[in-house]
Amino acid sequence: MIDISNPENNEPTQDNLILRIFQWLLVLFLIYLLITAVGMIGAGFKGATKGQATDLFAFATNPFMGLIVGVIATAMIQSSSTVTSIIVGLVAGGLSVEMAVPMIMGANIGTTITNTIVSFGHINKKKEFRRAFAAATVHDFFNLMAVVIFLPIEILFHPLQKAAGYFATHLVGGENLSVKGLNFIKPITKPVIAEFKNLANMISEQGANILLVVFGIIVIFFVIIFVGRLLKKLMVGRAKDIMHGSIGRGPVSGIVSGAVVTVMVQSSSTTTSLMVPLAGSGVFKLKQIYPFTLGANIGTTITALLAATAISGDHAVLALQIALVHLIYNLSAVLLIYGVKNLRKLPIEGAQWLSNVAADRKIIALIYMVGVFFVLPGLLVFTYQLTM
Amino acid sequence: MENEDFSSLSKKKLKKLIRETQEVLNQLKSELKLRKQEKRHKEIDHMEEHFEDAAHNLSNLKSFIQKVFSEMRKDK
Repeated sequence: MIDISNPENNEPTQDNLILRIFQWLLVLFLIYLLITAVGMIGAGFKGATKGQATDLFAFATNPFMGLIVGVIATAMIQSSSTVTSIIVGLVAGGLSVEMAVPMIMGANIGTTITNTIVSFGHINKKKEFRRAFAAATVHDFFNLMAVVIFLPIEILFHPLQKAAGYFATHLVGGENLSVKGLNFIKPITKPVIAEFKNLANMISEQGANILLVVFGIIVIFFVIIFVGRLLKKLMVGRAKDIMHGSIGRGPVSGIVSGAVVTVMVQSSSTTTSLMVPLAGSGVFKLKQIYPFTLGANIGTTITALLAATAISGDHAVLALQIALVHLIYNLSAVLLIYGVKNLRKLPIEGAQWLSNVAADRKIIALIYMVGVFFVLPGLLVFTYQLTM
Repeated sequence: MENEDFSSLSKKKLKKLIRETQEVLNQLKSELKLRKQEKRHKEIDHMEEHFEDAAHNLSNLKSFIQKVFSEMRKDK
């Protein structure tokens, strides 16, 4: 395959143009598959639970359990876009928005594992590792802080759910409850969902709905991987231009650039991982990397919004509501934590402290990663199961 | 410079000297800023490689774990 991301290959030759058109058509097809897969999860989950989805997720009535599910699931598959798309599908299938909100918050934390692992690549040079690890963990500290602030408020007053609900009802049409202007989605996804349903029925009539959910999850998983790879090839030039343009400008420009690059590559972990070597080399300071990372949090919410367009019918409002929760939550977290000077510096201080400790004793970095993303959440789930 | 005696200079000369020094200082700061920005632009030019590195994060994890354990063995 010709690497069209290479500027030398960027001559507008006919071959390159054809290849580029083909790759963009492939991106469109993959987005179509993503939307279809979310519809499959919604339909399958609805059929499997027969309207009792909340009972199936009874363990997640405790918001901390929902949070942990989001953290572990995202950390394991290293993609918040996949997890949030699945959550949108589950909400469309009957999972309550209230239960889904902590899961979305958990996905935000879980996704930070990727850039932490990327920073491990700098282990051979102590100073470089210290800077790279700080650039990775500043995202962790920020997202942990956001949960500490917003989750209790959400449990008590549901401001995110209410705000997202308000916007969702205004964006979704009246009688047939499908997203305004996007009524064409259902007709184009329905035949494929029906085909998968038939296939699931052929494999097992009793477990057809569960199989449909599993098919949906598998399709989302692979679509996110392939679309990410393809967009990286197609968008690397544009992403570079945006990054070049943000140099020497303020933090707001950094946040906007981080968000735009993330929308382009459809992956926050790609954007945040990209920041790690930039910081590791010492050319970019932690303070300059930080706003890009926050922009990535905002940009990644596009995937769930896109996934929500798949849903029509009774649950269209709810699917859009949970996708908007993701957006409003990340916007609010940036506004509050980055907007308030005293709060803004806490993730930087936390990351610098941890990276200093980890640079001296590397085992600390490993303990931190396994502890925060797996052991602690696992222990909490285990304790919860014992006490219930 | 710090041992220089400025007491013989007139107030006017002192002010002129300060102004000139300030100008040089500003120029030096701009030059430094420009060089830092150039370095950043150069680093961004390597974005394809960084994308590539980010894609191999599991091999990073493997080598990191190996390094941690070899360091631990050395410490013993």
